[in-house]
Amino acid sequence: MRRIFLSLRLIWEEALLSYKALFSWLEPRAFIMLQVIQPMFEFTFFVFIALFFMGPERAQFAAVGNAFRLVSVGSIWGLISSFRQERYSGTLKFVIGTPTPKLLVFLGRSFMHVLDSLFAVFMGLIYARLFFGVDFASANWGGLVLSIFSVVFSMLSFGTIFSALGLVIRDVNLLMNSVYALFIVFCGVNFPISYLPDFLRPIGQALPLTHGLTAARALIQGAQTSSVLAQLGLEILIGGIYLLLGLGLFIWMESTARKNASLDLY
Amino acid sequence: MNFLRILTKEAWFQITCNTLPRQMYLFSLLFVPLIYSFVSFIMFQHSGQASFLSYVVLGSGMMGMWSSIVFSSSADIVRERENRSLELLMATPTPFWLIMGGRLCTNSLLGLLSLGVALLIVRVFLGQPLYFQSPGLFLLALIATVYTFASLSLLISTLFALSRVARVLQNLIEFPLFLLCGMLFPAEILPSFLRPLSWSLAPTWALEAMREAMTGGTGGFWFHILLTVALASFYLWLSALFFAKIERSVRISGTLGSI
Repeated sequence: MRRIFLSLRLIWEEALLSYKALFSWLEPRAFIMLQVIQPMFEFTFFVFIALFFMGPERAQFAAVGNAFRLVSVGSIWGLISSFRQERYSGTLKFVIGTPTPKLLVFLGRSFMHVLDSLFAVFMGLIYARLFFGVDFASANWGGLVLSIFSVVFSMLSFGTIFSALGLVIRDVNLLMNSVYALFIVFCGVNFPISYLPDFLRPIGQALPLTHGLTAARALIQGAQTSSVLAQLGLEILIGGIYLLLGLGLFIWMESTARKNASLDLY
Repeated sequence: MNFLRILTKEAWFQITCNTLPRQMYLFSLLFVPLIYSFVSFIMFQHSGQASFLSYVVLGSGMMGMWSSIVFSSSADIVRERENRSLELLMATPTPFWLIMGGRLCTNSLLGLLSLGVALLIVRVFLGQPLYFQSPGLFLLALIATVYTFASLSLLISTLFALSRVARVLQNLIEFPLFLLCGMLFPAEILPSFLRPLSWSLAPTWALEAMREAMTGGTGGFWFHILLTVALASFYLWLSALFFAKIERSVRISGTLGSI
C-alpha cells in the first residue's frame, strides 16, 4: 500500500514540476502565448484556407478538424519537450540515473498533457462555434466526449514514441515539426481523406486522429454512438499499438543510452 | 566600403554557420513550402477556380520564406545569448543593427529558395502549367518582397533581442503573418476588424504585386509596389530607432545577456 502511495506521489510531483518547467511559469506570458494565442492563429489560418478554396461548408469541416488537431500541441510537443529540456540543461543523465522507475517518471510527465490536450480540444471547439458557426445543436455530447478521449489517448500514445526517440535524437524540433505535418496532410483535418491520392490514404488510416475525427464529425451532426463505435474502436486500437511501441522503445532507448553512455551527446 | 565588407562577412557567416548547416532551418526553407503547396493544391483541385493556382504557388513559397526567416532570426539571437556572445556583439565598434541587417538580408535572399521549391513542386510533381504574364514585373515584385522581409525581420529582431522568450515569440509571429497577409487566400476575405492590420503589413502588398505580375491582374501593380516599398522603408526607420534605444537601455541596465 505504501509503495502504491509512493508511486502515485512520484507521478503527481513529476507531473506538476515538469509542467511548470515546460511552460516557464516564471513567465506566464509564455504559457498564454503558446497555449492560447498561437493555436488560435494557426486554427484560424487553416480554416480561412478551406473557406477560400472550398467554401463555407468545408470551412466548418476544417474548423472541427483543427480543433482536434490542437491535441498534437500537448501530446507531441509537450511530451517531447519534457525530456528535451533536461537534455539541453544537462540534467537528463540525473533523471535517468535516479532509482525511481523511469516508467513512473514518464507517466508523471504525461499526466498533465492529458489535461492539456483536453483543454486544447475544448478550446478549439469553442472557437469553431463562436467564430465559424459550427452547429452543435444536435450534437451527441456523450459520444463526442468519448471521441475526444479516444483521440487524446491515441495522440498521447503516438507522442510516447517521439518522446522516446527524443532521448537519443539531437534535433527533436525537426522531429516535432515533421509529425505536425503528418497530421496536417494525412488525417483528414483540413479536407476529407478521400481527396488524397489513393496511395497516400493508408498513411492517414494508420495515424492517430483520423478515425476519432471522423467519428467526432458524425457525432456533432447527431449520429448515435453505436454507429461510430467501429471508428472509435479503431482509434483506441491504433492508440494502444502506438502506446506499446512507445513504451517498448522508451525502455530500449533508455538501456541503449545507458550502455553507450550516449544520453547527453549532442 | 567598410559597410559592404561587414555585410559580406555577415552574409558568409550566416550561410556557412547559422542557416544551411542547420536541419531545422532547412526544414523551414524546403519542407514548409512542400507541405503547404501540397495541402493547398489538394484544396485548389476542389475549388473549381483555375486562377487560384497563383495562391498555391506564391502563398506556399512565401510561407516557407517567412518561416525560415523567423526561425533563423530568433534562433540566431537565442544562440548568441546562450553562448554569452550577445553582449560582445553589442559592444563591438560595428553597429549592432548592421550585424543583424547583414544576417537578415542573407536570410531573406536564401528564403527565395522556398519559392523555388513551391514552383518546382507545382510545375514538376503536380504537373500544373505555370504562366508569368509579366516576368519583368514579377522580378521587380520579388526584389521588393526580399526588401520587405529583410526590413520586417529587422524590426522583429529588436523584439527578439530584448525578450528572454524569443523562441516562444518565434512560434507566435509565424501564423499571424500567414493569416493577416493572406498568404494562401486574399486578405479581403478576413473579417473587417482585421483588415487594417493586414494593410499595415508590407508583405500583404508584396504578395498582391506578385500575383498581379503573375496573372496579369487589374492594373494595381505599381500602387502595390509603392505601398510595399514605403511600408518596408518605414519598418527600416523604426528598426534603426529601436536599435538605438535598445543599445542605450541595455548598456545602462546591463541586462542584455540575461537568460
